[in-house]
Amino acid sequence: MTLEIIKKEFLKIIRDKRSLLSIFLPLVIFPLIFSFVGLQAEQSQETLNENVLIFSNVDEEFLKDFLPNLNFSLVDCDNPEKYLVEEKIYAIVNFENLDITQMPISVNVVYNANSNLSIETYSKIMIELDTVNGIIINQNLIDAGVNPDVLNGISINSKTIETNTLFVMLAPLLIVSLLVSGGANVSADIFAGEKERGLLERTIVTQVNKNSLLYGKMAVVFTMTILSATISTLAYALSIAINPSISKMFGSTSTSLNLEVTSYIQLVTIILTFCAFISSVLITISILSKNAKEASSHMSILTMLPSIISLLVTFASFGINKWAYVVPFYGAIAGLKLIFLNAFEWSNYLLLLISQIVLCGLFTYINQKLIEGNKFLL
Amino acid sequence: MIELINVTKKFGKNEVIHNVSFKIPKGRIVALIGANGSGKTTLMRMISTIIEPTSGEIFVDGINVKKSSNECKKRIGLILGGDATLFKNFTARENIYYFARLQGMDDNSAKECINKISNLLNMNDYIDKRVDIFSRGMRQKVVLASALIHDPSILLMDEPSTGLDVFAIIDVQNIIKSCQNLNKTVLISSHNFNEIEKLCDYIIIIEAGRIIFANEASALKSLTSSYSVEEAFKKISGLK
Repeated sequence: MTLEIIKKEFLKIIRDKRSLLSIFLPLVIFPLIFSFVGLQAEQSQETLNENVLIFSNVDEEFLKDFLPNLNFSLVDCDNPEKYLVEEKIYAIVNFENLDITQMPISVNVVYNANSNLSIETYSKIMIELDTVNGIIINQNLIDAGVNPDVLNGISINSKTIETNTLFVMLAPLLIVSLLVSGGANVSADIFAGEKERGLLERTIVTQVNKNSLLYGKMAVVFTMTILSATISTLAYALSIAINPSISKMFGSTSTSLNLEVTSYIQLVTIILTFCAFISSVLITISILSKNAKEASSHMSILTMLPSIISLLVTFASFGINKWAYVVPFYGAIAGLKLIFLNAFEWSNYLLLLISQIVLCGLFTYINQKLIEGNKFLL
Repeated sequence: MIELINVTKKFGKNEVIHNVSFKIPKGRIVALIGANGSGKTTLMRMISTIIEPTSGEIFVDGINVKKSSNECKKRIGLILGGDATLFKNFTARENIYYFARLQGMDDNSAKECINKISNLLNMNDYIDKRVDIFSRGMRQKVVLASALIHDPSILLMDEPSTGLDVFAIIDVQNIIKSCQNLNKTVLISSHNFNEIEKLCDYIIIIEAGRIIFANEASALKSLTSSYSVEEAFKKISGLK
């Protein structure tokens, strides 16, 4: 009987174009969006490398002497700040005193914080000014008979250990939210929709066992959550592979994800138990809702949770209290982030895994009780 | 045969069925008549094992519904909610097959019975087409076929011809009549007095959860000196 229920539910999904589209659409949409963003990022970078449009109160020759490594073009205008807002120029570089023999030389730099091009230009100008400042200080010290090396108190050698920043930042959110929405797409109809149309009453007045009905439907939602998460993650990984410049845009030098074997084990088990937990929650909502519309509206609140929690995780320190891992959604998103960094402690992993299994068991028990007396049909 | 003995149903503190008792003999087509909210659907749901009575006992073919609900379910064909109770993107055959399997039929006998019932109900032209392109009459036939596929002895129907055109009504009524020829008991909840007059030989009238009449249609007419069931119902319910 369970197999018949599963076969029927899958046939229903396969025949429903909307369900299929929502599952497979990321395979097309993600690479398209990322290609577009990547193209924009590359174009911006090329523009900056070739020529930076700035306004200045000094002439071009003076500025080229002062900032010799900056490729720029001066733009003449009456209202430079307006031009800056309109992105017709990327920065304003004004000298307060044109006599550069008078120290310190005072330079005012204005940029538009809402424009990426302006921000990039500002940082280029600042690097150039810093270099010029160093040269002037060195020259002044030498003129005064002092060795410039006396200013170097500490010699710093830094090394960055980095994984794909963009992937680590977005993948937990995408996996969890797409997994939830993939399950929600099919589970609204699975109990609530069939109840609304009287199909569930007809099903119950057969030889079908209530547990077969529940577990059959739960198995389908579980499979759909996993399928949805897998397809979305693949689409996401494919998009980054096609457009490595996207990762660089987020300050990452690495475009690959080097996961250790233990991290893969953690990843698979955490995702599987989370899928089981979320399936049982979605089934509870579907059982308790009067119709598919009501179920969908309750589930839409659930699908918003991962985005909100991801923001919390992004701003939270990784030294969070270990008991935070038992908090549904929060634990999974924070855990996945650490897994992608090969840094999830086994004790915290076990805490998260067990909490998800317990929550799944709890909701499954609630579901069994709800359908036991057929009260959910009233 | 359906028998109810002192059946009461409460939802919370609200008692919707009050100490109801009646017995429907085998092979009869019975009309369950009453105003909206009088308790018809609750009664149907209790007989079909969907909900349990708060007190009292229900027997289907002599089997206690509460004690042996699975045995009772084998004997019941249920039609509640009309043509909506189908999977719209399935074919008629897939819909009937699904319910046949849920009734415990094996693959071969399910397929064999579908062919038989398709012949019987003249569904061969569209049995392998998706039901979302069907007319309401065709869909109602598929609902009837899936309710009858496991050869139940009792058929419970809620408003079987609501929303159907004239030809579909005739088709459905013929199917119901043929059920009587096969010695099946049919309980119809309906507001359509023409249909009741044509099909039903036994009448149960329910008012605010209480049975006020349960006997032969002819007995109802003679008791109220009426020419029709509709007139008799109005008189017995105190309606003008």
